[in-house]
Amino acid sequence: MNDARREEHELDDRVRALARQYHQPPETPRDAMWARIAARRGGAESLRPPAETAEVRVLPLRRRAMRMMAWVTGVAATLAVGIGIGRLSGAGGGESTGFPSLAGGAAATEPSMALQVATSQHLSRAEAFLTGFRSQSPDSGFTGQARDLLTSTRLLLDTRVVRDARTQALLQDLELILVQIVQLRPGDRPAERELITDGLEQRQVLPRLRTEVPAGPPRAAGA
Amino acid sequence: MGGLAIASSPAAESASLVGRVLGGDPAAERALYDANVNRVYRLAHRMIGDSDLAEEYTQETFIRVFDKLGDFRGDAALSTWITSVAISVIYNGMRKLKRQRERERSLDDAQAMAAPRREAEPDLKTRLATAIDRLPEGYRMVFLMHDVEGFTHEEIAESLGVQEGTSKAQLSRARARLRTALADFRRPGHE
Repeated sequence: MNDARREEHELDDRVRALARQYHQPPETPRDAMWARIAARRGGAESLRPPAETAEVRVLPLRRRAMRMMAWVTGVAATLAVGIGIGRLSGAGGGESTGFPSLAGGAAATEPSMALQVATSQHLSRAEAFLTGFRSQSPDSGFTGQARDLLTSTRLLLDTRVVRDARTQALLQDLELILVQIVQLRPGDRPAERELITDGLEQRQVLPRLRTEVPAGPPRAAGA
Repeated sequence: MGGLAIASSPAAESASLVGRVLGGDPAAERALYDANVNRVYRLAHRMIGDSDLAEEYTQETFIRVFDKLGDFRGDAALSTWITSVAISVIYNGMRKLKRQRERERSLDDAQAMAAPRREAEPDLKTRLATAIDRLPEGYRMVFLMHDVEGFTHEEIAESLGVQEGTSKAQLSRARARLRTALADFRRPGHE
């Protein structure tokens, strides 16, 4: 009995020693992972290690300025498209749908409507893109489309025109999915793509997009 | 991290770090990451055995940690809370992988049946790896955390949301299963 117990302990010791070689991790690639984490979070401030704090103070400002430029350009384009559609479609239709609600009565209704239409269009494009991404074979064309949609998504998030929590959460999830798609490379294993589609399903991004996007073309006033 | 303020205790230090991260201090974000990334990455790699996936799960863990840091109440150590986030990410990832690997395995099985081959008797290391692979998920996690990565039962229990006794029992069962699987190697000289 004692021999058996001793053998058991000896085997346990050998197992523990050998188990250290099981799936032995290489050195942690901390900087590479940090760069990707910062990119996914969109946190420009987080890209540098603490030792470079002095430099960080300059870089975020520059990035913020660039984002502001993109913000202005994007908002102008969004408004131009949105207001154009709004004018073509006539005025009215100011009821709340969870899209931007700018205070100020009739004068404010038009830009609100314009942004609503623009947001609606964006979500509609995203829904069509993700449906295609999920159902079709890998195609490098996806990356370019994803990048465009990612830019628009971030503009909408940055402008804070979408104020209701549900749509904001949807845009944030959409941003996360699009970042993953942008990072896909042609040589990536199918598992990478599958993780993205699993994320789509887990977060129910497509059903939520379909809920947000009205059936048919973006809703116009009086239509 | 040399530039960080030294707090009076680990808990106070964690609270200070969390406060600075929540306040948007990028140096604190990086400090939190640096202090914990190694254990998260190592645990992910031990469980998955794939460097790319381990990196992916580590990244996902820290993205969630930064997103949910406001929920951290300090009931457990910050490192333990981060480990619990990591375990959740790893388990989710493993479930997805399992589905994929089952599909691949069915293909491998078909190939193996078409061309059977004799294999040499595997050595202890190979048999051990197979035996660990075959442990139930929970046993494997506890075994790797405790016997390989050096977590305490207290840390394991808090990370997994179970009692310490459960962690100890699972480790004991994991070891027993490994002993059974490797019974041949009890004989002296059988390596």
